Amino acid sequence: MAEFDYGIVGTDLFSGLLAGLLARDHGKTVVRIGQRPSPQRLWRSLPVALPVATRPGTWDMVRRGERETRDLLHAMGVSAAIAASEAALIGDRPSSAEALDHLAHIAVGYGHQVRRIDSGWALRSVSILDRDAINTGLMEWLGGLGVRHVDDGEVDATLTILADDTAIFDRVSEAQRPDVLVSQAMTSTSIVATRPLPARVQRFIDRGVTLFGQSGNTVLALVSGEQDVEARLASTLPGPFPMKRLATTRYRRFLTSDGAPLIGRMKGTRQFIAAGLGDCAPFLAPAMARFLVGKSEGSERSWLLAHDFARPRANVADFIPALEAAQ
Amino acid sequence: MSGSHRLAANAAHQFGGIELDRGKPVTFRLNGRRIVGFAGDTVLSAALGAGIDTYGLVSRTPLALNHRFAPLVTQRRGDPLPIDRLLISEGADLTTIGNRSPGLAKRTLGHRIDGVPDAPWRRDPTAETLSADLLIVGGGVAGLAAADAAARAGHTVILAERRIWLGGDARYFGPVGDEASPESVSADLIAQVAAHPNVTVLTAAEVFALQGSSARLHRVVEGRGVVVGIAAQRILLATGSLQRLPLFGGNRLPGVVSTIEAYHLAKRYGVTLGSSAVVATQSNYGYRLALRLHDAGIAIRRIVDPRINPQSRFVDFAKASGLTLAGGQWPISAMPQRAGLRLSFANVGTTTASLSIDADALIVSGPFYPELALWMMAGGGTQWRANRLEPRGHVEHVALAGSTAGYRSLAACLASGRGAVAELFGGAVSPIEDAEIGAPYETPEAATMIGPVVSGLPAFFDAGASLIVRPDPTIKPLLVGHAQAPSLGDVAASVDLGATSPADAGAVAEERGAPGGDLVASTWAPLAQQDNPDMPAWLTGRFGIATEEVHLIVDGKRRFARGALVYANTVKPEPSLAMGAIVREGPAGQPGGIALVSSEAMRKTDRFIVETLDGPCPARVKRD
Repeated sequence: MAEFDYGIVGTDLFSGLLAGLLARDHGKTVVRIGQRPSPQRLWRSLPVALPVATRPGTWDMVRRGERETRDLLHAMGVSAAIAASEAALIGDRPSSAEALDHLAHIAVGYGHQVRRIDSGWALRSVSILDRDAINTGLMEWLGGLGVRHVDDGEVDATLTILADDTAIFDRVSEAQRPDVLVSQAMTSTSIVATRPLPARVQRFIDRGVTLFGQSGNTVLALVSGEQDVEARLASTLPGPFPMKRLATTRYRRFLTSDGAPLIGRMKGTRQFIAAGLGDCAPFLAPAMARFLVGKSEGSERSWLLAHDFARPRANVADFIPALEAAQ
Repeated sequence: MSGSHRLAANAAHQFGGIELDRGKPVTFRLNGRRIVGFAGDTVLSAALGAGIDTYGLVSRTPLALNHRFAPLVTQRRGDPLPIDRLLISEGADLTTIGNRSPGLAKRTLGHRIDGVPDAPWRRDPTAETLSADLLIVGGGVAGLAAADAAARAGHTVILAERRIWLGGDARYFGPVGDEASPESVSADLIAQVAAHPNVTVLTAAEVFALQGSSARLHRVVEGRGVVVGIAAQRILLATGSLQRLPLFGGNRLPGVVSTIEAYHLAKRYGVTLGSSAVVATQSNYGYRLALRLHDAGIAIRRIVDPRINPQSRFVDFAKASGLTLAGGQWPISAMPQRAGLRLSFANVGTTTASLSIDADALIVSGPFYPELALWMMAGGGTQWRANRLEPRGHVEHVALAGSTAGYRSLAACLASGRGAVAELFGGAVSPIEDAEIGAPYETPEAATMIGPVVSGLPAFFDAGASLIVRPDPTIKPLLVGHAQAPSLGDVAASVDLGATSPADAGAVAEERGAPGGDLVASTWAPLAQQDNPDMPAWLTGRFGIATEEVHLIVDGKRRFARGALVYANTVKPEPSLAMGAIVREGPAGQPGGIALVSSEAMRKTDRFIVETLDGPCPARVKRD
């Protein structure tokens, strides 16, 4: 019998919340594997409940996850780590505009207030997590739940969850990876801003740029792809130029070629992959925990099963911007 | 001494200023104030020599003026220039750039520091481009040795040195054992390099951009700034090392100065920060400096050292010279007085002052760390090793030498300069021995000391422009809205305080140390898209296996927005229950809209609810 029910490999919020929920709500023995995240490192994703998705099931999952995450953070004693801000989605290409129109109407159907803006839509009150604030209390919370932590190495667990992109890069060879999983170059950079952004979060679908206004008059920019990174980024910024950068890091992430999340156990292994969840990943931790222990029901279970990479994916394929499809 | 801030022209150890011609006074104005310096002075050294030791106030804290933190100046709205690379000239009328308070307080330039602007020349066009087989950045002993070796091998070389002199910091450390003195080694190398016709030496030239095999530098020539591009096949970084700032309250007050800065001010310009000083050092080289300053006429009130009973020839010399030593102690605060500083010291491991001394200056020593800003800009990495950030990784056609590469002894720095040239051009590289005198004779330096938080006395992480302050709940954040990249010293201080893990330090430094150039305006736009009549993949299966397109209308005018969801009359408007969606406007500008609707729903009804952003709207299928 394995020493742990679950080994969670990963250092981002999703892996931490998932580990805690498996222990707290489902009584499982859990070990989390990965270096503790540093608040001084640049963010590599934006934990925001804003799926660039046109499938109602995905929005339903995220909206329910928002409520559960809010309750969870309250229980952890970090209620202030979730805030609501306006988020804008901007598309240049006709195909993106079409997808965003559909997205906006689905968001309204799930309770969002939206307004049309130049080349896109703005959504009011989108939940954003303060990764650093949550991480401050996360380790103590996990420790209190009996979740073990190791920085690196192998553990004896019944099922190992590869819960972030780094875990998959490290533990699944390219040959073993599902075909639908593709890696993409990313740049995260912090910029000094002298003008505020029109919305705290701005996602430029066809420029591969996400902007996030942070304290201290800085903007965090996440830029996908390797070509024209600075030109694309600058084309989204309000100026005045030149704009100074404070920090930059480059890395790779996974996305899926069909734009839909990829969930499931790798055949013939004790490894389970959760990839392509995007920025919404932390909000999906409660549902994922239930799924892993076999307690998912109804539409939640259907959605998770439908995204298993052993299933046909035509009916879950979602919008993927041309820039990312070309990676 | 001639005045309280200049040592005598004939001071011991050449502490009268080897850059100066004392027989040639030069008068100029700085912010309207008349200053008399000497030929060979920089604007910075002349200002310090005239007793101006304060940049200005950040919040209510005065900050020292020094070569790592100084404003730019301009003359008659000319180019902004750095005051540590600009020589004074007779009759010049200079103005510092930045917010200043009116009035002419005696010691200060009067700035209100709410951010430190970047060097504006970073955005200037390149005035000329030079090319060479090898660009060497840094004119210390390693860079000079490399230039000599490369020139002897027949390569063309450009050597760029930020300071106005060559030789680097080696003289501060003095000789080790029987090796030649850094003075003579430097002098010989400078002469040898000058004799090579295939070496171009650029002083007062700061490299600020590095990408691939090209670089850009800013040079001050005859009172003007010029941006020079360098195209080189290979690049050698011999940028030396920087000294950490010990962490205690008041560590950047005017009058507090690092040992390396105090040494160069005295040696190069005969400048001191007063007639009395306390030297607080965690290494033996601080004793060497204290002895020399003592010999040059400075009253050394105490040499404070966190090590208990350190062993060193310099310690023995200091004792023999009658200097008072205090082992096992370290500064915990510096408080400004009407004249000078009140310095408090505590026994190591305690936080209560056990000793207070008044002096004009506190000369502090911290560990040296490799200056790796350009290395990171070139794509190199860093890692935390042996209590400091050291270079990591490999960058094609770029090499490191000297203390930048982590070497400490003079012999190793020289050998690494020559070895790096061999490495870059494919020659044989010999192993380098970095010999230091053993612990029984020379007690190793202590780690950076950290004093207690002192209310109202900010402790800065490092000496540069980032102005990061040790967190203290009793102090209002000093620079709200100020954003300046932290230095490697900042990162190291953060590790010392436990705010950054050693495992993360290298990555943090890389992220912050090489942020990339300024972003300039861009008109980038995605390529125009061809019309695609196909249904997007993300609509596949959305409304069941079979769907059809229908024209939904409500009346003769209303149009439905694309994306609006279509429901049966009988279901609640939840998107997962939608039977369809508007996919485009009505044909030929007709009202309503074309909807993609489930065939199953169409078999049951031709009347639906279209959920618009203004609310539900009944609609029916238009039959032609």
